[in-house]
Amino acid sequence: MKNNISVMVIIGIMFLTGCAETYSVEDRAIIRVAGYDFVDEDRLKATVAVPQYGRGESSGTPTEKFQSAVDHSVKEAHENIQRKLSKPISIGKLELSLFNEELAKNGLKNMIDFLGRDPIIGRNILLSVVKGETQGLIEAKYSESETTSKYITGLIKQNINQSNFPETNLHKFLYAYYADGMDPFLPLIKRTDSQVEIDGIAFFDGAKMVHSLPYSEAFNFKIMKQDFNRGTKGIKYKEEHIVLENIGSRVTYHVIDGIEHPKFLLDIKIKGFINEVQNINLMLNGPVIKSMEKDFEKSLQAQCIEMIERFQELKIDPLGLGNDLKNRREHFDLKKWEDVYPTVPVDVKIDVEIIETGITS
Amino acid sequence: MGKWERRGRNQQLNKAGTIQTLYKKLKESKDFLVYHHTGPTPCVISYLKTMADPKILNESILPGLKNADLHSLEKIKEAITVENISITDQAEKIKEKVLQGYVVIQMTENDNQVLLIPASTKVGRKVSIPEIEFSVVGPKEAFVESLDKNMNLIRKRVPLPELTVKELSIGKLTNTRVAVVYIDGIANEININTVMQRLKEIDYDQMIDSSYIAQMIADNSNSPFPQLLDTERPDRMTEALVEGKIAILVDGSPHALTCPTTIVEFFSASDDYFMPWHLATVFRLIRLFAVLFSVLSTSLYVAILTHHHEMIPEELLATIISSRADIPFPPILEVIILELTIELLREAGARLPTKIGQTIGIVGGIVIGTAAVDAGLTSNVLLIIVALSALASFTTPVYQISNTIRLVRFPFIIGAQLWGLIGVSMVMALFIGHLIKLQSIGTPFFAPIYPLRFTDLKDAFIRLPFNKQTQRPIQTRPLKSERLQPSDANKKRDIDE
Repeated sequence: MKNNISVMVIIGIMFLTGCAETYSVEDRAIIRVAGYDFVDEDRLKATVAVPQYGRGESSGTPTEKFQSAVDHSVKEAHENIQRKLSKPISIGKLELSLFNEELAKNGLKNMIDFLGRDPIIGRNILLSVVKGETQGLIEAKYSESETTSKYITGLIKQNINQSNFPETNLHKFLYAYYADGMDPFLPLIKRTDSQVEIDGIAFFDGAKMVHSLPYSEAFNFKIMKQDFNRGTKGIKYKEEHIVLENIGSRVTYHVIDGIEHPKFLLDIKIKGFINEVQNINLMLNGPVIKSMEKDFEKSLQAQCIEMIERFQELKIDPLGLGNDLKNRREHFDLKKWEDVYPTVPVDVKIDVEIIETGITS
Repeated sequence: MGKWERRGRNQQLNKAGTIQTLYKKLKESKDFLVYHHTGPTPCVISYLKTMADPKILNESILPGLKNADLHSLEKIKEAITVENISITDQAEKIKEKVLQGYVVIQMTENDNQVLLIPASTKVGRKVSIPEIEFSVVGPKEAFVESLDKNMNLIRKRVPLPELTVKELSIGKLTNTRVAVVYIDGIANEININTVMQRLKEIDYDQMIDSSYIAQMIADNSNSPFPQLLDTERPDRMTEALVEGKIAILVDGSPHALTCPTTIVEFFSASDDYFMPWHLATVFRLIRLFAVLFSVLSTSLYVAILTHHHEMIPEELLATIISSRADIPFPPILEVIILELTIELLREAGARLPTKIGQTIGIVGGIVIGTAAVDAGLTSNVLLIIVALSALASFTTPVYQISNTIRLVRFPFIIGAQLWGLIGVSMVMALFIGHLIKLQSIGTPFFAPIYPLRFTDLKDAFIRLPFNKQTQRPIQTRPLKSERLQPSDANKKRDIDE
């Protein structure tokens, strides 16, 4: 009897699941990149690129079809795009979501909710703020062999892995957004005719973009934000311009004193090697290198402290100092922290070690 | 009720009656000869022409009868130079012996007292090389149909007085000899008793092959998993016997059964012991991976393409979509069509006479597959997956389990279509649950994994070197579990030490 019931249940489930409409992967409009532009206070314009894959042997770089629609919310805008397509939209393989600067300055609350709530969207997709229209940026073609989505994703990813840009993705953005005492940041990209480039870092206060830094300051931000192994920084040394190539930097946050009067110390250790010394006759021996290290330390420290002071003025905390304090000291009060944050003393200690000067000396 | 009736009829069939009724019955067959020997000793000689050896009849029996004045069976018995001659008047015994090819001598035709002279001859194959469980290195002998030859193959490998052979005859009509072999003092009594009891309780007309027994004494006859390991290699069987396992041989079957067994044993080949342990380990792991791949690959294809396309890596997306673009079927139909094609080819290959037939079958599969792709019935990607999974299922060293793998794939495919990856996990959970519950002669079938037998893991997924195999597998509960002294294991003495 017990057996019969379970058999009935299994058969029932099998017949019921037959009612669900399933779409195979080739019958879906798989969106790889979506951009959102500001239209007015309560409307936005969504632009998506749908790759058109070749048939049979002739697969290669897919071409892309672009669609856009205006509506009050993201879902409704997608619904409007749906009306223009022969296949159901699928955002499961979304890998890049773009917002224009105006929209970001007006707040991305509904975007964050949409991206964070749907389980089908991966947590490692990239988000980015765009200077100017996202529609134009998406519809432009930058490479013969790559689709726009792949090109821009590659652009951001390789700069994170191989260069000065700090790590970012949806997961990190959402963490920073929801965490107490931490504010998110995103890459800021810009299109110039047939070119697209990373322009800088966009900083958010909650869901609103409030500040941006040029790409030249990304190195300073990255050494304070995370450990990393690549990247370059040029400084002046005795009227010369020399370049430090980062081999490995380690940052440790120290919280000094209690919750009442917290102080922070960012202890940064950089190992690097020297490249592009303009004065070839400069002897790179021990004392010279020591003084170079000192100069690097001094100028980096000044720049970092200056950057943190700017953050404090704007009352944004992309480094997550408040979050660090919350993790390490009990009785953390967010209200109180927000009041004291602009005046909290933050010291940066930088220790540069030049371990390599190359084979020409 | 029907069973009782049938049993009654069979008893009738087996009942011997008197010699006269027996002879009357036998004379209906053309090959039963009765002739009156004339000369100095008149007597009646009768035998089954097809079972008796004419050489013994001509060279030993007939010359003996030439002597004069042999007026009683005792005298004839002395005159004939063949061993094991007996005199009897029991109809039952006469029937049994005549059917085995004995020559019967009577003084007169209606005499109840007869002389039975062993003259049976048996036609059979010679010992040849193993074809199903072939290995490149290692012994090349395989079991044949004759039980005696098979016993010879085992006895010469295990020259021990403790090697015990118990014989039964099973099958009401065929009276097939079945031998239970084990090493006394290592094999556990409980296992032996279980096997003996189950064999004794078999009630069936015929016993054609050992696979009959495997199905009849299996703990769960409804399971797709074989619960007794069958082998055609005497060396593999020796391996099992010294581990305290029990072997069952059936007269007329070139496959022996060993039990109790575990699921991992089905994936270990005899080759694993013929090469260094690290190589053996790698190859065994590859084989286990191949099994998982074979079972899961097509169902994962269905699940991911139908329900979870976001899991497809970006680089693969274009390949899959463009190869799927022209296919008129949903993934599930595509998979079922191709899987059935492969199964058809396999069945056809198995029915073809030689091994070459199978190769032709596989080549034919590729040709059919390519044509199917060109015609737009299946996608290239799926063709590769199905071909690889078929190839992977050939890597299993035991034929029985590869059949299981063939079958087990289909529930996974159905689960994948219905519920996606959750369906695959559900079917997987059902099978694992079934395997955990399964027993082989009362011992857990899923053993080194569950219940976790840590010491047995040294020869399960990996094979450690021989000097680390200090204990026989505790799975079989051997009476003596120690194989070698762990302290002596690593010693390699130089000659001058």
